Amino acid sequence: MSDKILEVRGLYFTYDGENVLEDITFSLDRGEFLGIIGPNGSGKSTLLKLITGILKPDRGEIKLYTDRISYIPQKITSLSYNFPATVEEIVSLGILSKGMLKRISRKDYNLIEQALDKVGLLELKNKRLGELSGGQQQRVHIARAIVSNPELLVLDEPTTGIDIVNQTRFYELLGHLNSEMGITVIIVSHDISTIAGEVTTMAYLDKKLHFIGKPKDFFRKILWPVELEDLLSR
Amino acid sequence: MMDILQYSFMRYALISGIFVGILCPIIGVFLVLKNLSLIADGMAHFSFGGIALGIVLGISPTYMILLFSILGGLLINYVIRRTKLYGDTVIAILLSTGLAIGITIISLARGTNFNINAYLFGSLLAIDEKELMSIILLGIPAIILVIIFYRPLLYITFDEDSAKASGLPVESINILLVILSAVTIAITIKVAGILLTSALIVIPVATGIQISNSFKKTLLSSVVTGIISVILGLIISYYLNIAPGGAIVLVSVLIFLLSISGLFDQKGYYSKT
Repeated sequence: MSDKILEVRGLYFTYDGENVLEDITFSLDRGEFLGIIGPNGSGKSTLLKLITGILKPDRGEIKLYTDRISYIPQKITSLSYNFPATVEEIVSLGILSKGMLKRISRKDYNLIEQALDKVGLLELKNKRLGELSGGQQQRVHIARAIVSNPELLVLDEPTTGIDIVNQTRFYELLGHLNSEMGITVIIVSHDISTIAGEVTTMAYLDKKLHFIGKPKDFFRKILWPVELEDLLSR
Repeated sequence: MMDILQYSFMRYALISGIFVGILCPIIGVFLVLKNLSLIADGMAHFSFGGIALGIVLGISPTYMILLFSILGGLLINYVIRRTKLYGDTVIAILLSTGLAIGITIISLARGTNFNINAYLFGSLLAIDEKELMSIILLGIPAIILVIIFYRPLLYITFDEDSAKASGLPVESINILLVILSAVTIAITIKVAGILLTSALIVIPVATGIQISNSFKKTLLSSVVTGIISVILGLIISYYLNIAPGGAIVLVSVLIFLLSISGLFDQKGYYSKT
């Protein structure tokens, strides 16, 4: 029997009188790595905000079978640029998902250091966030997300503006979190080539959910890469 | 220095000023980093309507400032979220509305003994024992609340969406921030007046951001800057016989100019260039 972490049924979301999402239905098992692709304005970010509870659906339901969720929003690195906080201070915010007024204990500091070690940034913990490169900043946010031991990690276009070498490292890190730590991952990207190698499930969203299934089926049955490229560049 | 303190009005002024020197930056740091530097200005101006109404109705202006600042802050928050307008547009509308209400009420109630200058420019030296008590009773709980909610406030300041996804009650924390800002404004208007209140909320924080590497150091250096500005400004105003509100803000501007002059650059963000 499969162990579901997320069920979405008949989901609609409207913005300014226009449907952004129409009749979205799917479910996700624990331990999966779901990559969602689709053109700009296809409702990808909105879907993530609905799943994480930041937005409320207009119709339909979302059932989450965990309350340990971490979310890394789009463009978070541009927001970090001038923020006067150290790497360690940002990662320690992740501890708050265990309780808003939780004091940071000795044990929590160990968790923070372990998380920073896992993403390879332990030596930079006292640096100001804005002094790090875009790729390093993304890994700071991964550390913040995993410090609370989440069951579901949700990321929105995390590698925008990051060079290809660091993108590959970033996806390897996500793959590691998924396979070694058993964290279920949902990622939105418009770059199909980078996510196709790591994900276990692929979805194509454009207002409606046109496809969800194994990556190989996505390429073989649904679309030829040429047509897909054409579709994505619309 | 000691001969200043022989006067009780100077002692009251100093204690009230130090409260403001602490409170303004610890609230201001969250407002500034949320890109809401102008919200304090909007709330302070909006409370002018409350002051006028309080005078006419015989209600203590301090409570009316508190009430109108909270109301103004919540309105700004609500309208920004419910419309397509930018924050500064909403603040500009509310700021003028409060001023217009105040001016209208004052013109209707002509003949009332209304010292408008005290509220516009501050009246630090006129603070009596009763007012000092109300400053302490409002200020201490506000400082304690900031200490308790330090990390949640930092989280929603850094990124509301991430905080919300982690299960933090973002809306409630935002309302807490508005209430704490209103308390700060109600106290600061006595010191610096409606026109200069936001200066004390914003300028020490700007200095702190400029010279610090971490959030903790930003907070600490902002508070130190705030307290130094108040004490130095008060002493200068005493010896030069000038308005203390203006002197305090000018000292804080001077410290800010020093902070961007490059003297502290080994710590500052721009040191890497």
